[in-house]
Amino acid sequence: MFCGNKSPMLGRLPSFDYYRPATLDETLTAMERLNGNFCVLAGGTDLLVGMKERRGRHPALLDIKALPELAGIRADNGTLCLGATVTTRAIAQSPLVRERFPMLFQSMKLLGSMQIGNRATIGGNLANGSPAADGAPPLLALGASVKLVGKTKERWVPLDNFFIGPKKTIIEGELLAEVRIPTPPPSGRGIFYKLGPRNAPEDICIVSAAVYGVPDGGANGWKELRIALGAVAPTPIRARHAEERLRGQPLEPKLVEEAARIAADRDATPISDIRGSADYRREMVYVLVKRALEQIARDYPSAA
Amino acid sequence: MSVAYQVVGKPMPRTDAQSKVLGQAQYTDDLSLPRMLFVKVLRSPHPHARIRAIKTSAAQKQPGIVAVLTAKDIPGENSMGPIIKDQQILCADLVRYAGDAVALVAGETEQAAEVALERIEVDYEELPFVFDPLKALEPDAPVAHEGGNIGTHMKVRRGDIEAGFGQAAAVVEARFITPRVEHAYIEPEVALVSLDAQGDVSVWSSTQYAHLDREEVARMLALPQSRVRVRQMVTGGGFGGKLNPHAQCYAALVAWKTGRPAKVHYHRDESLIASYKAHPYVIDMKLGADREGRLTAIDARLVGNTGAYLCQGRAVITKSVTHVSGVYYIPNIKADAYAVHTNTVPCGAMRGYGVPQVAFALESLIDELADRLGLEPLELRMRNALDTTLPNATGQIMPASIPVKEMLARAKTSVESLRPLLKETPPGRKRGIGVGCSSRGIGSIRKASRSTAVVSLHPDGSATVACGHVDLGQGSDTMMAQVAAEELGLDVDRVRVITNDTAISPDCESTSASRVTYLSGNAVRFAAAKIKTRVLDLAAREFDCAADEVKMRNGAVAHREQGLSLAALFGKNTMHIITEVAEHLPATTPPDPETGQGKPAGTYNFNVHIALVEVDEGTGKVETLKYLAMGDVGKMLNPMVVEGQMHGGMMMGMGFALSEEVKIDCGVANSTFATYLIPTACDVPRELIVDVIEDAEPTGPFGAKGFSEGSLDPVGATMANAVSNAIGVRVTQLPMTGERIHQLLRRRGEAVLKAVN
Repeated sequence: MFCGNKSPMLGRLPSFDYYRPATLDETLTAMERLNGNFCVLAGGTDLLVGMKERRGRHPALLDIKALPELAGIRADNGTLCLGATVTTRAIAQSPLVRERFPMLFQSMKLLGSMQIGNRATIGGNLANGSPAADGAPPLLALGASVKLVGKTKERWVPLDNFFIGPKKTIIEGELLAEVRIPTPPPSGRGIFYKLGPRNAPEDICIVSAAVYGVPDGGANGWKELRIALGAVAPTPIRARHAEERLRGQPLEPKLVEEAARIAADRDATPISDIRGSADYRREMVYVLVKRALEQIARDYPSAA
Repeated sequence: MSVAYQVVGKPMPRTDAQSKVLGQAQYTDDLSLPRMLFVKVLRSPHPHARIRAIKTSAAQKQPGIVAVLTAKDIPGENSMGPIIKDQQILCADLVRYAGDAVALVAGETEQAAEVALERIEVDYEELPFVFDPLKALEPDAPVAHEGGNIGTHMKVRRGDIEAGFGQAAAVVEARFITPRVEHAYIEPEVALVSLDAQGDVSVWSSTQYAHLDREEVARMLALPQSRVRVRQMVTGGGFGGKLNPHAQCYAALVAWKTGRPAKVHYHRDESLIASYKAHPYVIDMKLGADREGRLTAIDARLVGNTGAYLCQGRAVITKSVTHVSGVYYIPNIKADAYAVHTNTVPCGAMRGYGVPQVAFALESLIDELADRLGLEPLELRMRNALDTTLPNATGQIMPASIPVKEMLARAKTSVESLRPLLKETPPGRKRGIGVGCSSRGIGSIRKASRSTAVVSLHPDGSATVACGHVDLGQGSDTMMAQVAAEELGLDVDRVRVITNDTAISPDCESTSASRVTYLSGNAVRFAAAKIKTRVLDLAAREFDCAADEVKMRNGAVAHREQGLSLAALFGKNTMHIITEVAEHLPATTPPDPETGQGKPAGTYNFNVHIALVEVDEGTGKVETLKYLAMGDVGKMLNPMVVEGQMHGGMMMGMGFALSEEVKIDCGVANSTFATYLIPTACDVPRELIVDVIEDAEPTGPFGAKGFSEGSLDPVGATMANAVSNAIGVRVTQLPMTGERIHQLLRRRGEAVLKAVN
């Protein structure tokens, strides 16, 4: 056993340069000038803790909380637009979100304690690139996109293509400015389950799962059925193999079980860490996906 | 008791409640002094290594650095420990766990000290290490501590173990494993030290034993204790974890060397990494009973992992082994307990002190045995319960205040009332009911334990109590005030209790072992009673009557229509104060080292807990639907304090049962509260009932005795029995995380499948 590489002295927050630009333009200029030697600071609920624990070192932090363009929740033709610096608690308290996007509401409610929820932002939750981000599975399942703004151009990226590795996203010198979720059809139904070690919402999940379905109106199945998983792969993922297995078929108990098994055995590639073993995580993917599919089937017996 | 008391037995808010709620309470870290230095500790990254050299010059040259100190700067003795002083304050040549202290940096700011810390160069020669206590017992294991890896071996021998198992109709045995547990006091270790013009040392600290701080600082600085004064500031919990004044010593050494005030405050991670924990145990236990369900014999081997230092390991395993038979009479006992060294963070005192671990093993086997004998678990318990005629494992018979059978009878009614709820189990869940019992000797049991109080009555009808048992937030200062007020006929707000200043409060030993109420409560009461006798005698002379005809109330004395204020009475006798000293030293006999036999405690506290749990069959997660904590406290001095303590102890036990486990990779692997999981408000049982049993202890103050640890003792056992009952598999390892229970469910599923095929 290798021992002695990790210093048990965990330091305090190291010194860093702090910028708080007032406009988007100022921000983009500063980003260009700092040339990659910075990290964007929004809520800081993970960033600052990571810096204290020396998981990440950043010579400069660029605080984007003062930017008016990035704040606010609005509906645009039924599409839900979330500014990057909207706090997760503000999302959880939005009547619009609660009514139209109950799965997102659920995940934001479970994201952390009230204190965390009042600081943490939706942009930070995604841009941080954690495989366990509570916001990611429901947004993946809902087909969300993110707006990345650079000095000269901006682009929209589906969340499906956004995460590329642990703590790695597709962002290249850009600012994540907005998250958009397309209007769900009235019959759409989402379920989010988060399994933590305690009942405390502030726990980082061992496994999370989001399932979103739109029944096709007939007796045969589902127009859309998306499954997304957290903390069981290098990034938050869609369970494509499981989705494939379910395509166009009614959610019969046997099929549900089979799809859940596929999600666990083929889609998930978990590791063991302090929160749980790979083996347990895999089994919990099975349990959570099965439960979520069963719940959806119960809610729409005609489509099941 | 038929006596009606004015103050004791009444629920009243703690005297410190308002200041804490308003944020006005002064903790050590709220203090700061001009020219104060900040001290940081360099700790070993290696679990076992020889120190070849330490180079401090680069650190010394950093801006804002005033001193860098190592072992050679200690003028007196370089050793510390709450009981056994086998840990160096700063390691001179050998580090024995990742977290052992090697050097100190004192800077003008905390930041400067931190930066300089990284510039100290230590040349280590890494040595073989061992983490697992069973591996440490193997013949060619690395030696974690000189003198061998067996730090202590304690025994209990009663009767004839072979004959006992010979009489048994059923025998059960299993290995039980319990986690290393962190106290998780809300305030981490902190100390501030300054020197006065004469070079005397003042310490302000967060501590469970101000006089030990004084003793250790004096010993380290080679000073007489009279030149060190310690004031315990408002302390944010201790739970056994603040009995080793390391932070105090570091601050004192810097103050001594630099002449400037110095402060040490650990952040949470340093507290988790460096300071001692509760012992993890591996327990092999075997229990037998005859056809009538009478326990005949117990054979137990308890291995406590004491880590790099013995610290309090000897006392902890002594507590365990002497409590091996719990609340039962078992005629034949063979028990061996070992404190085993490994290269892990040391383990020492924590609320429970070795009892929760053995209670988990014993109570689990009691349930197994009941199953074998076809008896209800409570029935088997009842048939073997201690009473005023039967001895516990140490041979001690408690002549009074031992209401175990009454508690078990009440438990039976409660269990019956819960049973219908088993039928309401939702699909995908399993429900179970569990019972757990525990007994606990009050006070330290390896030696006699004394408390001293000085009570002064002032002419204006107020009183001062000086008694060195510090209050850590549990409410003892409030109860001591109630005791003095009751005896002196005063309102409780006329009494001031000073427990926190070594210059004023006499040494009462530490606030630990559930001993304050019983020991200091008596000392305060006796001292106050002596004052009352003197006052009544003086008054009797004035009134020309017998002393027992005089009444003393509200700062005045009276006899029939005659009355006199205390001020007038004092004046007539040219007195300004009446001060009396008293002690309480229960008559005890420490356990014999070869047999464990003796009379180690002045009194015992008993607990019976019941849990109704629901297990998620898919995830293995355990939810507590109802929890009933029944505790015997003798008599309550303050029902509000009792209830608060019982809630706290129950929740702390819930952490031990369900989620808490300090893990070791090299040093402590989970050094934050994001990964070391204490129960939160969301984890409280859906319904929590506290049931206090009052059966007066004749030797306690107003019938009271200690109970604060007892409220934690049986929680792990109770929860394990409830979960085992729910899932149909015996739980043998704590904590019962979702993952562990899921594993058990899966193994059971596989076994059932095999049986079917």
